[in-house]
Amino acid sequence: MLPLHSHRSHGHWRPSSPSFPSFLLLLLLVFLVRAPHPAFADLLDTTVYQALDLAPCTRLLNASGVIGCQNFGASGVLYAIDTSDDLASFVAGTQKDSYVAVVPMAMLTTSTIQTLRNTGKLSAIVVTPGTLLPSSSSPFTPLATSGFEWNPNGTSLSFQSFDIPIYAAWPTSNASQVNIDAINEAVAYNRDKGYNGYPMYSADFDGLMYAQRDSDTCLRRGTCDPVGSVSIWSSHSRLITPSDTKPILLVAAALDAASFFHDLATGLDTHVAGLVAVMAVAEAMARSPTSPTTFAKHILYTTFAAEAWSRAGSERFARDLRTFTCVKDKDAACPLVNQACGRPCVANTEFRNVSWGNIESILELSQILGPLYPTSPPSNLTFYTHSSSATSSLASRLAAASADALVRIVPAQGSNGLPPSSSGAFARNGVPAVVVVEHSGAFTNSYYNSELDGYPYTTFNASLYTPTVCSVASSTAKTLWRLAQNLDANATLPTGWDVNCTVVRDWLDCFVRNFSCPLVTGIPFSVSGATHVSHYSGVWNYYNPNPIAYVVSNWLTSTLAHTKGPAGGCNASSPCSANGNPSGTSCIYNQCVAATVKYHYAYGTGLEYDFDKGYFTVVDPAQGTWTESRWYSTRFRIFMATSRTIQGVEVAVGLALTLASGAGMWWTRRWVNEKMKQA
Amino acid sequence: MGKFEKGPAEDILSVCKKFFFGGFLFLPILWLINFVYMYPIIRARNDLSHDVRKYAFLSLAGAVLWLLILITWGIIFETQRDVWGVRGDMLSVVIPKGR
Repeated sequence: MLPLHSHRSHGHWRPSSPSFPSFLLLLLLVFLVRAPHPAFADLLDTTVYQALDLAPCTRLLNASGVIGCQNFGASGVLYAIDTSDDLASFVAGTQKDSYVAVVPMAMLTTSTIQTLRNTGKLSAIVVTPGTLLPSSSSPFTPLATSGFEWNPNGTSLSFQSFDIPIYAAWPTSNASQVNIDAINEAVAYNRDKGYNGYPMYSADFDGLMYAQRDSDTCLRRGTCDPVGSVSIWSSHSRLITPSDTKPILLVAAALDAASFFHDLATGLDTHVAGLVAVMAVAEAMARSPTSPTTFAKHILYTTFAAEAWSRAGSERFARDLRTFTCVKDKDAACPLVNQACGRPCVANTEFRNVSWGNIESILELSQILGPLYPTSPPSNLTFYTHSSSATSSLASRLAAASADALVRIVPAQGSNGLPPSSSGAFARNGVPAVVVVEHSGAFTNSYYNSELDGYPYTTFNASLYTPTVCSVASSTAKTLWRLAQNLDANATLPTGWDVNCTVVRDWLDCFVRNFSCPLVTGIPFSVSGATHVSHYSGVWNYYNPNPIAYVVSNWLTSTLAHTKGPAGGCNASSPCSANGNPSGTSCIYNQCVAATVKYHYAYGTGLEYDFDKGYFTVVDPAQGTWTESRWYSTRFRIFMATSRTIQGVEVAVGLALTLASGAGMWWTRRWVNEKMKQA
Repeated sequence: MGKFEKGPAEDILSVCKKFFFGGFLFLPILWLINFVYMYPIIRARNDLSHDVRKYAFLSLAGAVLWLLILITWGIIFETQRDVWGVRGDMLSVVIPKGR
């Protein structure tokens, strides 16, 4: 190495001060150790990590505590636990690392999780569908009433709290199969090495749930939001007034379902079948040769949201019908631009016209899918009506209407009362209720509120279920048509009039397999490019209903329209406000329409917005108080990890290099300064 | 030793007293400083008033008492702040997320 003064002697440059060379060295060092360029950081990140799109288990809270998963940052080597032998081997193993257990859905039980946790080696769990589905899997509660378990397969897994991340690699679309393949490949690589030959595939998880303790605490701290969405109520009648003497028939279904992993909620039997049947009834009734607006009774189609969460939708709707009081017409604290009432803050109050005393009965279509996974459409099924009263004319009318149908609907025997359902909020307050279901006693659906209720979505064949659901819808429509006109149970029906089974099939397909179907894409601003959307209610807010509520309300508006412009009279660039279309209409399926279709806020009746405090509070811990935690990110990545020993050596070498650099710097600087002084 | 440490015994007593009484203004750090500073002087000099020793050790006792109180409070606060609800939140400068 040439001394610097030799350069100077050759006239290359002349330092302005004796310390200039050391300044240059310092600059070089700063350049070497400064943060890498963002593009370089991205490159490094994608080179080291492979991010996969997995469904996280997230945290919910109520008045008394937390459920779901918490994640304070976890990572570990992927380890396959496919069988009980694998589990035993993992427990007995002497490995010292942290591990991420990759388990099939059939193994996701409380006892498996507990056993894994007790080893002290588990940092997280990744769930895959596995090759063999469990014969039963309902993470919901057993739903016991008076000692009778309606959901005997209920494990309450969804209502337990875990302090580790649990994510699911799930085929929600054909494209998402890559996530499962990546996990399987990575874990197979580790297994081939006997989980002992580093480097091995590891995973790390983001997903800190901000909320803590209980709903009251997290709402106050602004770290959670009420679980909920919007219920929808609709009618053929343009105007319903408290003073009209028409009795009201409610037809109900649940608008959403639940599952352990919220992103994977589908509820094919839990709610989709009933919802689609109610939609099909509305569509058929709208085609009645005798206009439903002339019927002696109003028919109200009600689809209730967040029903898995303390029946938030039906409880709030029933309570508002009975007791809603507008304290203040306009309130600055109400963020709505158009306030129908400022306090409580609501966008519409037309529900107040639905007089509680005028409600004659409620008919709910609940679990009406029939057997899951049939090889061909079933024939000669018998479904059951559960009534709030021992003798129900509605139930006997349904039995008469369905006598010759594919699905016979007969009164259930036994004395267990109404199954857990949306009707409960009405029956409890004196409204006669009838719930139509496939089970006479306990649920026959062993996947109630589970990810498996409708799985696998990508190969879902709606035609297998259409005849069953359509048959129930048909019997329901015929019963309502007669009842709403005060006609005899065997009165002659209009020739050729019935439920359109194509509507049933198309909506089943849209809801489970392909949310980008024409029925959805014809609605402006709906989700685009989605195949499977979650049927979990989500969190409540003033403006945005979840995708399911949005498309159902728009489709009902189009179907029940009392005001219509010409077909093709509008599109995305030509709204209803132009081209002389009727005022107050919305452009749906390229037609300007208006109908009596209203949203109704759905969140737990134990929660209310406190206008003085400026946030929601728990007002009644005994009622629904479910909230969902906020979080920043639920990222999942896999990467190659070296052994702990190598990692330790890497840190030691890094430290040694840093110290050596410092010493080198110090020595060089001293040397340069000395040389400068000599010069 | 510096100039002060070698100075008149009255000056040392005066400073020691000021620090001791100043500590009562919820300033236990003054007591701690008083003891740490005075103790070597007390050991090094025999001509100091006995009061210097008294104030220095009382300062130490006060500082230890404060330390115990602060540790107790810290434990109580960390374990109970969630239970106290709104009051706990009001006493918190930063509320850790998720805990």
